Amino acid sequence: MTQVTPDFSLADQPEAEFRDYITLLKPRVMRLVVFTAIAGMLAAPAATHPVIAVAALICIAVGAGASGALNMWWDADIDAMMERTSARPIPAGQVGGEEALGIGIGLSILSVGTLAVVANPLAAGLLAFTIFFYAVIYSMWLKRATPQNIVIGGAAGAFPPMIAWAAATGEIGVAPILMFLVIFLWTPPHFWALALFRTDDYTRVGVPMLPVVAGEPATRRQIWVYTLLMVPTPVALAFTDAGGPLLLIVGLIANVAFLKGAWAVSRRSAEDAAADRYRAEKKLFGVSIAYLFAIFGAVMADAVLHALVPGLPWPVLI
Amino acid sequence: MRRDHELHGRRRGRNIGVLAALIGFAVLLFLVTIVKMGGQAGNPWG
Repeated sequence: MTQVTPDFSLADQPEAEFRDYITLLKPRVMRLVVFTAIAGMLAAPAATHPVIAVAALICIAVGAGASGALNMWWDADIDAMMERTSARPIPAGQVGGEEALGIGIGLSILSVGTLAVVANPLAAGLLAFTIFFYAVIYSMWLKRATPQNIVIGGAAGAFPPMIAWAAATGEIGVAPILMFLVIFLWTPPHFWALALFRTDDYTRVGVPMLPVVAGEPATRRQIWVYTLLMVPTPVALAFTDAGGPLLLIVGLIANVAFLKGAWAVSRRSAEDAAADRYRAEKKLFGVSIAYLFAIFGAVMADAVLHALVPGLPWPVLI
Repeated sequence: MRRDHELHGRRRGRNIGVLAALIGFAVLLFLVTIVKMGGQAGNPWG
């Protein structure tokens, strides 16, 4: 005879699957981090052994994931109330808060320590600062305190190509600073385009996103201003030692697409947007994602071009 | 006969995932060590 005695005490506790741990590391953000970091690594004027390059990229990705876990631990209360984030592992009850905190801290220490050994202390220090910036300065201090949260917090997402460059060369030059600026200035229009059609979520949880605090017209103006500040950066990057003709061509085309989308959003009223369910804003959000992949894809393509055609005549002006 | 609770299955899957990640990390460190040692690899007397 078969006798089964279920242990009901287990059912009350979160029992994560491995994929819940992966979700905790924000794999979509990690994808962007890895992509821009690969660009920084390839464009760096230093020959890095492939094993060292891959190890450094894994450290950067894991560090970014660790900061994502810390962010989810801190924001679990508001994540539970927002439609976009309510299915995350902590509000969904799949991972405990303290477990997420432990994973975040553990992976932070592991990734920074390993990067110091694999690459150099500069790259490890930059990665540690990035994790601190995202988890503490953005998540804990700014996100719930100021409508400029996304502007300052965007710096955290802008560091990965600089860290990869530092891992390869041991120093920071003009090119990685411009790569940083591309992402830093891209973040506000990218995120505010999303925030315009997700206002309800942020209003409900009291996060002072710009459209909630300053209103839609001010947000639309800010999107245009940041777009104008952003567009020179990929063009300038094209004339550094990380640039080339492909980046110049792709940068100019991508700039036109971004300017067009941002201009359309900046000229609309809330009524226009509501009438077509924020079509232009959704389009700008999509264009902004394609923009970043195009720019950093072109940086990679130029690195390959320079490797295939040594001595390719190209003016390095900056 | 003892039938596993669904939670046991989940825990097993998680443990295998963590084990795979740890093995991957150990292999990565091994490869990095070999590369860092360069020409000295396999020859501790130089």
